[in-house]
Amino acid sequence: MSRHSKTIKPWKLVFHTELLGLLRDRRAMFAGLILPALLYPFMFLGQGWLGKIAEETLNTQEVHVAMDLSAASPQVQGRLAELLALQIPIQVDSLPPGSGASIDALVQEATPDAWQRERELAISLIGTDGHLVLYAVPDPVVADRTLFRLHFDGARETSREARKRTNRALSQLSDELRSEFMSEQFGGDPAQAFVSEDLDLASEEDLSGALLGKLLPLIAVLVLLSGGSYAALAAFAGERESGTLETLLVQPVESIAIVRGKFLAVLSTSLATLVLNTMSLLLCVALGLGDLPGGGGAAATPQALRVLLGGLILIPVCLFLVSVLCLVCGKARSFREGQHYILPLSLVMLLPAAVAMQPDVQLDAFLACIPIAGPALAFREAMVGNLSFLPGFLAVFSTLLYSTLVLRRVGGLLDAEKILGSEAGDEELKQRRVQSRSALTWGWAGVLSVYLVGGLLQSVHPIGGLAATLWLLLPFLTWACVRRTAERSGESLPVALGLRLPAIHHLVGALLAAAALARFATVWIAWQQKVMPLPSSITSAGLPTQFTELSPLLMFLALALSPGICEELFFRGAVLSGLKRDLKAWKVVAWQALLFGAVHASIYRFAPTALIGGLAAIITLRSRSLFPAMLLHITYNGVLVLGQQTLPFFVKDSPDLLPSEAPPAMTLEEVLNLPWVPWLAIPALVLFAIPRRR
Amino acid sequence: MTDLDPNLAIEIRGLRKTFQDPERGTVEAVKGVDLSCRRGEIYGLLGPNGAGKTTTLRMLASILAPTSGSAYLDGVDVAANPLEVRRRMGFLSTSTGLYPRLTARETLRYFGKLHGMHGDTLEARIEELLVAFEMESIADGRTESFSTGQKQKVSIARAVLHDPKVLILDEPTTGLDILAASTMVDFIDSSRARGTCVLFSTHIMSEAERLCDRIGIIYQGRLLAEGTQAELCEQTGEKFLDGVFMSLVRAADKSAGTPG
Repeated sequence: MSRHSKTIKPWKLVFHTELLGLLRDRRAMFAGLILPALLYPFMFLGQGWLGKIAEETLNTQEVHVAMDLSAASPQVQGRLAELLALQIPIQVDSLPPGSGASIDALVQEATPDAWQRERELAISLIGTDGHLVLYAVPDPVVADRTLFRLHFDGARETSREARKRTNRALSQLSDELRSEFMSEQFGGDPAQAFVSEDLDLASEEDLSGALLGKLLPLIAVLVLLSGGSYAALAAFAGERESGTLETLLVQPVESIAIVRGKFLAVLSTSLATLVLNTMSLLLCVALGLGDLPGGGGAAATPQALRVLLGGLILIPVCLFLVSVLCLVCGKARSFREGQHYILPLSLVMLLPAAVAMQPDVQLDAFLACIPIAGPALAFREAMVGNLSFLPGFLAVFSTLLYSTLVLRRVGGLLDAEKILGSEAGDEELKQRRVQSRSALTWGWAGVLSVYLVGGLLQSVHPIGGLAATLWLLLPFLTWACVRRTAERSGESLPVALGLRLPAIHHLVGALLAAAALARFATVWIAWQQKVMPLPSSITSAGLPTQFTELSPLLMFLALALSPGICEELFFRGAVLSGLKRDLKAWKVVAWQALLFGAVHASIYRFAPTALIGGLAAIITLRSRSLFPAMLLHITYNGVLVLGQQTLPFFVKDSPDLLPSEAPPAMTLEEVLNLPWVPWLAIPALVLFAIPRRR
Repeated sequence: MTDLDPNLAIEIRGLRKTFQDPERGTVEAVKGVDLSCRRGEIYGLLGPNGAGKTTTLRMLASILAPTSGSAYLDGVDVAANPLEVRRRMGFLSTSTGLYPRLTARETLRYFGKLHGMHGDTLEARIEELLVAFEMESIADGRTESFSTGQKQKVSIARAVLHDPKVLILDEPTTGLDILAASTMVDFIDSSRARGTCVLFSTHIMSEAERLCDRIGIIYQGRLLAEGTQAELCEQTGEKFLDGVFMSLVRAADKSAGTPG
């Protein structure tokens, strides 16, 4: 046998076969690889050309204006009519004198009914195909001034255009009148003594570099994931689904060689997609299609050296993304399951890449070490020739480090013990998996309906909406979610929800934990305020005024007792009861924290609410009852809501108190700030360490 | 090991396997199985679903590591030298699938190369098998367009491509239609003539009766009895294999029910 027909390395065999399989799937190839590359020209064209075409069409559209200028001075009347006639194409009709005054009367009335009549009158004056009514009235505020009113229809493009042209004529008139006045008074306008002109020092290469630097990281993440996800799903989840995995694992080949071949196939596919897309993007920029807002009209490719440096920075990112992709797809048992993971994964990965799009974020050593965000920022700097060594090095080095860590996990993906060991289970295991997944789906459905339905209800009526969300929407969701779980496991609804008597010491533990938690939350919010200050719109409106006007008791009912009961019933009752059928405890807690953080729909409240969610889940799992979590939640919310209430048992220790004066009572908030409060966490821990007796 | 019988193709001693299950804790799937097959012998592992058949065969095929006990295949210690064991055996199970976008010939070539075969030897062997399984006409069609029977033939050809000494077949006929199942049964039968040892699991009594030189009855992770059909009938005083099976299972349930 000749030397050249020597056996091929196993990873190469696997690699070739994977690629062959992918290349033969023409539809997937086209959709994942080629289509995105073809879309760029259209994307840019769409932004540039279509916008221009729309504008031009609008410019040639004739607008109809009906006017009554009888209240203005004859000089203004004549000049405005001339100026309006110049805003071609335009048709100006004169209305009988007095029509303006009759609409004005309705405007002054300012009632909904008058508004309706005002509308009808305007339409009758101008006709249904007219676009704008212009009239002059004496200004009610400043004497001897004319007020021009423009009645237009904001929902119609042409009517808005009519407004634009009329305003243009009005501003020309105002300019003319001013310069007339100026030349009368000063013999010329002092403001005309200078003019300004701006000159851009950046070369065309700089501009296109800046454009690419901002866009490419985001596009790279998107494209790597879209191009790689199909390959990764086919290589890992597809292998399981088609039943070839077991066969592959009995071949006389180390499983790591198989993983290596598969990983390289996914990496190649991703890179091929990226290269195709980048080329298409570069071509678009070179052809001058990249006329994006803020990008300038950059019609040149950036310097080759910068592109090279940028490429060097992006390679570890590709490695990292593809290894994460393989890890995620490798965990999926089927194609469909894998596809469910792709969207959340893409969102998580896009978030840090979007950082590079923010102009005010500056690359420093800390940011450089954040996966994806670091290299994305480094890439942006490199493309404008602004990258310094240390952050650049850190970005590349940290990404390589993360990739290595992920790749180690990827290496163990085809561990037969894990894959086949868990599959050795029976119908019951499968049932439990279904229950967990359905609970998770209900969890997210709950979050979404609270956003949508609850948000809508509360926008109509804050207190009633909140009550309806808590006492109608959530109980319904609870019932819908737990019904199936209970049915499948043959439990009654209360049992499935965990509504059983708790151990007394767990209730006491929950009470102590709530106090410690409330203290922690105040410290956290104070810290967060420094790092991520609340926008002014939120600070004052933490609670709608309707709530702050309530009596303490009602406030407690609305904001502590009701959420404590209803939210716990849904999240720690129904959802948790399903989740724990299949998932390990830490995963249940993690999902609970994520769901509960998400349902509060505010990045500023995410950390504290996620913490409560996670903690309540731990307590529920530990005590095997829902009541301690309810107590924790009610107490926690209660303490924060009733912070200004005074407590009779706690008094202020004030040195300048006269002996005859009774010491003033402390508010709940002040009690919470006493030094011993955080230490309550310790007895709480001890109490929860004691198990519940059977 | 010095005390290995050179006439044995498979020897399993005290094989155990436990899984960790999050809800049920430790699950013992195989609770100490001893089993041996001679060269050229067809051995049927008979048992209901969940008896531990698949796990036992997977341990022997070096896919899963035993919790304790040992297994030898063609004299090679499975735990010590799994790759060598895989070179000497062919493995096929019901769930075995094919790569949909490869042709029959490409499939065989891929697995042949993974077995270290190459060049003319490999091509000649592929041709030989295509002829033997009457697959010449479909050799260059993608397997996604194949019928179940055709797929089955490709899978069998794949398993015997490297001319293994031992064939391990996990429920090879489950889920197949009559035609495909009979292809499989004929193939197992023909292995006897080629001198290949076949160890296969099944829960179909008639298959075991027709094919097996010896039968092992496995139930709840334990091998209850082992022997030729005649020996098993004599041992239990039953006339047919299903009677044998039921009486052994009843005895096992009874002894499990009485503690101590």
